[in-house]
Amino acid sequence: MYEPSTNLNDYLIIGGARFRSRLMVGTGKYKDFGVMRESLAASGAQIVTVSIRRVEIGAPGHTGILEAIDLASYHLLPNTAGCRTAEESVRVAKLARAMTESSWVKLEVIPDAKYLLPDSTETLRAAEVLVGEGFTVLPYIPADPVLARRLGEAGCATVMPLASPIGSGRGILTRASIEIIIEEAAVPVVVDAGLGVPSEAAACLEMGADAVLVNTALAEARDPVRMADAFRKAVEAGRAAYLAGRMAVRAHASPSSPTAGVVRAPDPEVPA
Amino acid sequence: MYVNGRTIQYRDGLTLYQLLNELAIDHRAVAVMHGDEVYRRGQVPDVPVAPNDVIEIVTMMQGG
Repeated sequence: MYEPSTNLNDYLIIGGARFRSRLMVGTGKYKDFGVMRESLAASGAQIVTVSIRRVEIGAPGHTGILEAIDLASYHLLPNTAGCRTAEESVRVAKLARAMTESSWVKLEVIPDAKYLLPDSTETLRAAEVLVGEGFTVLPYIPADPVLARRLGEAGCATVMPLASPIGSGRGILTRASIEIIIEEAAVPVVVDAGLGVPSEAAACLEMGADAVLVNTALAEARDPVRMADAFRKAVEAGRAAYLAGRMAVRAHASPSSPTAGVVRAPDPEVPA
Repeated sequence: MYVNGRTIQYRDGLTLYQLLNELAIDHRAVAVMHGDEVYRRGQVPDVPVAPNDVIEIVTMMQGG
């Protein structure tokens, strides 16, 4: 008898912390905080990303997203989005730690505004500094298996290879490289960026990714709350499929019904 | 002083805490970098500031 509870011990473990959900979500681009809050709840996500920005001088009462998120319900993952160099990202990470009172940081070093592709060497440099300063570092990276290994060796808590450019909704364009990263990784692999629909998130988990992070796919859906629910189910399904172990791929068909005892048309040549 | 990339007029005796008050910024909602020092949300001290200090006052915003 199938017991769903056999999966109860299946946790995502990052930096020593355990999480039931393997779906991380961003808080950007929602049309209002109400829809955002409902979407976060529907996603079942426990890890939620935020950005760190300068307070607008001369805009009294400006407190950003702080009052819109139930801080007790989510593990905040502040990013260093907007940073173009290792120095900028280290600076923002320190401010993020002071802001969130958590040492987790999603490290993003992105000099290019068109494709928002991360800078590998600056990311590695920043990661080394931040790990040295006690941060739990989750670096956003190109789907480069060698870089992923170097970041793991440097003490990063995860690697977050991109599926396709941020906010593009183009799905998994880097599949072959992500498969190698998953195969080789000593730290959890979180596929981040570019996922557009739940089937793509399911595919990542089926491949053996430990988690996925989505934002635009939810925020820009016609119904973000329903889409968040759909992603939650897809991530659960993909993880269950990975644990179940997929069938082998064959070159030819293999009938599912018995080949013996098939009823044929009566043959006039053969006497009854 | 340079506060969030803007020039703000310095005056004698000004402290970091007072600066936030004068800018109508709730110190419980922001983290502050003052030179190399970083102060946690809600823990901005009454330390003096100097005319050429670089100060960053940040909060949490939406992001992915």
